[in-house]
Amino acid sequence: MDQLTHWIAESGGYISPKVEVTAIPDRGNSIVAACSISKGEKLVSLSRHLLINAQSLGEPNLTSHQALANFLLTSDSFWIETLPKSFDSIPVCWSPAELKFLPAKNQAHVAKQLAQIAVDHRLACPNEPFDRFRWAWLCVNSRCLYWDVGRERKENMTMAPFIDFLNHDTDQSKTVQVKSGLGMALYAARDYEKGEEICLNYGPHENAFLLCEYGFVAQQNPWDYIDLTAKLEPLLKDHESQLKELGYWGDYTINSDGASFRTLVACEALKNSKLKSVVDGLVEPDEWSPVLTEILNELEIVFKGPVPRPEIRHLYDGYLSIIYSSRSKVGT
Amino acid sequence: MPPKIDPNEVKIIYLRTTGGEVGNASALAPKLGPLGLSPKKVGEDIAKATKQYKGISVTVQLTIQNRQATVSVVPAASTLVIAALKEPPRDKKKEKNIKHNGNIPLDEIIKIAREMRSKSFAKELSGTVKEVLGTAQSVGARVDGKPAHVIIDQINAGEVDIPSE
Repeated sequence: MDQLTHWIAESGGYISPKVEVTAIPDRGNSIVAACSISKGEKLVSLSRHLLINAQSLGEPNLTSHQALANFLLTSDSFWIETLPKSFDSIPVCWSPAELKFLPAKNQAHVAKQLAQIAVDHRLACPNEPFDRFRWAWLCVNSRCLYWDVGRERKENMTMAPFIDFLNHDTDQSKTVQVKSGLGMALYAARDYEKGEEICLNYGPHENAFLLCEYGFVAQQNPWDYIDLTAKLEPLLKDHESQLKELGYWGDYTINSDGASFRTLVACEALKNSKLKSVVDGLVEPDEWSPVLTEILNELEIVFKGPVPRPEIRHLYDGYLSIIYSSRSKVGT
Repeated sequence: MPPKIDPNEVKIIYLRTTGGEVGNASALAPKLGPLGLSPKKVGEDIAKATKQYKGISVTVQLTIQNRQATVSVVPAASTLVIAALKEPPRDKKKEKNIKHNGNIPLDEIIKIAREMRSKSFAKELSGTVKEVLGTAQSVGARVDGKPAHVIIDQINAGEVDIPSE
């Protein structure tokens, strides 16, 4: 770690003496306040040439992700030593039997990731063993930050030494700000006490997404929701064309505030109400529907059942609390 | 598979509405409904956020992320100027073509200019103050008992001092 700090300082970067990297149980390495820090202080800054991305690597024929994975496998930079050694908790590394416990939408997400890894493997470094390439690919996937490299949207990513130690916090008002300009800099967005963990908000993501992309589940995640699409769509077969026409087919969710408007519209369809006036905002949809109670009861049994991994337990516990809070809202 | 803090994940919608009122859900429904947001609930949130601008037109910013919307009021010169007149709240449906012929102290104008500073392209605060005075003129308000443009002329001539910040 000293070596990393030293290297950054020598290459024109800056790391405040008030922050340090410590391993926290269950959270891996994290950046922690070494003494009290006041709001607005600059914590870290990295000049442009410390960032590793498609621009700095200059591989015109590879995508950003491929170029970075290739770099991790071929470079002998000591910085690579600071990366995690394995990604056992990310679903891409799970067995097919374990994947069955993820929501349908996220199983599809994982399948897409696996296909993408296979493609990238073939195009970027086919001579590396698959497991090693998957490690590099996941390093990039779970640690990169947004950075405009002058390519299309999904290519805009960079790896940033030290800054990539930041863990996730779901509260956007409490997390650090990353400012991008000529380089990347980190500012304290609030006061920190000694020993407090300094976090970044990775984005407004639900737990299943965080698990698939980064391999962890956040506690008390306000962005979390349960996807009911797989349960509702078979019931809605008769209304499919009408809902598609209105743009309300699929993506039926429920979060701790209750069912989303899309879900409520779907429930109205089941009651054969006049959908057009509901969608236009002329008629209020009912706030709850017996169908939802039924679906939640079914799901509750599933979520209470035995699971093969602690990550799935955490995910399901979050879902159970959504079920309970939406039930208490409607008073059933 | 987006990298952390992808700015493209946030969707921002601006709309102009009357402060403190729950607007017509049918105006919000086509935009918010497909995103999974309840037009009624967002309408109530907007009314709550604009309470202090009762009966005045305000610009509202909706920040939409992952099926949740947060409401914030965008400071607009005309809204702040009309609010500074401290007129009794009106029912917009009953009264039409309202004339704002009240009086605002210059200090209040400077306070508004400070709030608008980040949105203004003026080099110095006095420039922003003149922008706000222009808005005051257009809504019909007088400043320190004089027509707003007289104050602008006085600032240009150096007769009235505006602090640099």
